Amino acid sequence: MATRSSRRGASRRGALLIIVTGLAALLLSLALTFLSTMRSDGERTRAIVRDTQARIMLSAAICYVLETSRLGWGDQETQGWNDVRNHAVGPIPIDADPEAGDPRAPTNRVWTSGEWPAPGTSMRAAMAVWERAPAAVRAGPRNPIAVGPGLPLQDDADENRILVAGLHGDYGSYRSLGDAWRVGSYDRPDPAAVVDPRVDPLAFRAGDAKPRPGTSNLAWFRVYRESAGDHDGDRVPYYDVLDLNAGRGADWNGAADIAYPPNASVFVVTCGAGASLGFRDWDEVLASDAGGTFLDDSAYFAEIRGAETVLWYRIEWSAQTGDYGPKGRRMNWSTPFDGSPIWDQIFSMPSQGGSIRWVQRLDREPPAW
Amino acid sequence: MRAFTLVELLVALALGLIIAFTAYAGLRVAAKTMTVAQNLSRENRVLADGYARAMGESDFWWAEDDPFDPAGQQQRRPFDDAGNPGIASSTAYNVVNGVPGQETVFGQPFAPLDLSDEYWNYKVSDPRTWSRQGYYKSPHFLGWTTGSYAQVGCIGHPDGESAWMHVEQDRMYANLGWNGYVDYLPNPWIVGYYLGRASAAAPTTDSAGRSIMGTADWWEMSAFPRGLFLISMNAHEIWLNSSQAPEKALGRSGVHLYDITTAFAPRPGWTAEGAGSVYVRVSQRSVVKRLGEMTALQPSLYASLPHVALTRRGWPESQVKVLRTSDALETGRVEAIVGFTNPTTGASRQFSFAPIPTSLRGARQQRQWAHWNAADMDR
Repeated sequence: MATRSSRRGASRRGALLIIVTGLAALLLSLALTFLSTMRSDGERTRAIVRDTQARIMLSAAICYVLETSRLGWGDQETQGWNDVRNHAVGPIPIDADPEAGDPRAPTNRVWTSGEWPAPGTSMRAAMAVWERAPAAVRAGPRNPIAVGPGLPLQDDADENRILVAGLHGDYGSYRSLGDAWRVGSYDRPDPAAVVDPRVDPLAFRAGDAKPRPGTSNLAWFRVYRESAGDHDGDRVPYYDVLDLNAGRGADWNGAADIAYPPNASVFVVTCGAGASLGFRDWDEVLASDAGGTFLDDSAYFAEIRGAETVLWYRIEWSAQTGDYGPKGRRMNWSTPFDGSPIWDQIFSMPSQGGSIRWVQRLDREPPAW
Repeated sequence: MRAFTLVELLVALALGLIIAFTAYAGLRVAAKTMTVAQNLSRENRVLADGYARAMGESDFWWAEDDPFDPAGQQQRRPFDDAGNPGIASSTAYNVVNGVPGQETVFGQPFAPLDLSDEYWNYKVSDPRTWSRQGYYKSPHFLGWTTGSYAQVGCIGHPDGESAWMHVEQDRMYANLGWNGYVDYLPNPWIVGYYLGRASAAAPTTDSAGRSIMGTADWWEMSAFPRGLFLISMNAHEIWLNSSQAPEKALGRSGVHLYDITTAFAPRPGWTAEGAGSVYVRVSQRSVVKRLGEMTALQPSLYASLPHVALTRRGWPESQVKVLRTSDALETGRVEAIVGFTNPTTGASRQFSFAPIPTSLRGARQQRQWAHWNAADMDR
């Protein structure tokens, strides 16, 4: 009897153990499924964030192309990727003769063959935010109180005055005329320099290139300036379906009908989100002496590159700029001080760096970027 | 061995029940959590998928033109104003409908456009490409000061710049339709060109070989092609609102004053909620919001991408809409709306954003890639 009873006891203990283990296993499997679901959701969300960051880089790269058509190549302003004066392959400084030399490689160009921004070369921009931009200024605080007819505060002198002031683009939100015009002075400059150039002119001019926390290793872009052969319509590379180099015309100075110099305003833009800093491959890392950034480990770099989102676009820059549109509430033609919006006037909306004629997404990796 | 007392038994039973209930409650919460997590995960997947599709549409223009299926290429040929396919000629698509200069066929954004390189590879130092905007004063029209487009683009004009500009604009409008024309027009150019002849000695046909109005035939703004001015630009709408000659507000922004919008439209089967396709309509003329046209057309203007990949029974239903428009503030704007309705929970969510889109020129080049069937469209 004692033996049978003991066997029954053992059997009971075993059953409980199985039940408890089963329940625990069930809970564990639920927890694991939950964690795995959350993880895959997180990865999916991260992919969207990466894609968005990469697409923002398209905007950044376009801004870069527009700005550097005229700025950034020394002390003098330049006159476009194809010079606006004679279509020579620029940039060429405004005070230099664009006609000197071969228009495909003009004498006064700012570029050196084989180096950016020469056709057939590329640049890389890792997009960490600088601690302080060069020549950084900061605008004074804006009065947040809504002011104007029908709003809590009125202009104490003449409410029309506040409207006129507001015609600057944001009427109804200033305290007084002086506030609206933001009168600056040497005593109270607005905007004011972040680093006082009277104290440290070098620091003011140079800025502070240290990346701001949390802005490193997120996104980058590259710009490849196509050579004439990249868009001559010979279908190599695959997207070269149109000859963008041809065309004839007269010069601004009345020169006879001549063939245009080649189009040097087409760019392949690579938009990336990830921590590779925009290096295309390990060789490029080594060539830039940046191996230490990636622990001198090519496999580590390859892993980073593999986890990135990379998109390719093509754009064409044009010197043509501006448009005619509504002048809006900036001025009323017949009664300029009544402040009422008007829509039958026109104004020019210039982009000082030209415009982008077209944008094309590439579905395959281009050979050069 | 001593037997259990009643108290011990009751305590043991109570403890056992507590454990059992706790385990049951734990399992129940865990199961519920899993259901919620699964629902959230499905919604998340649907949203992520919708985002990718919207971005793909923004980049590749699938809804407007399918490079791989001729059945999805309706916007590669022009249509007349009754919706019938246009008649192709060797130089352009056009029909003279009994009235010289009256255009009754409208281009489409993906129609072929064959112009020599002179008209495409703009040399910005070439005076022909310079902006001609401003007040072009000329003889009055019905008492209003109008523009003289002889200074802008004119057939047979002795000034080569004007002749060049006429060909450029006329062919863009005739072949690409109103929406394609707006997309292609360089930033600073004035919208419009002179269709009338500069003089009795000027040619009697335009760049496409069709008859043109004589200088005396001015009863209806003969300075413009009738289709461009009266139909596409909604001239009366601009005129009534501005109390000014419409020429004073030209340019891509100017022609979109007074809540006027230009849109691209998806092909049949790719519209929101099964709405009819209006790609012919929007290639002919702009949309006047004030008259309620935008409200009426909106379902047909939103490209609603087919979403078969995630339509498992019980899953959240995905909604993806992409709208391409130009208005007074922006040319080539894309609005994307991504959302879902979950039949299990009844939850519905939607968010919108504005991707940086590609342009029609870019989309037309894509369709000429060899691995996209190498369509012959030229620029």
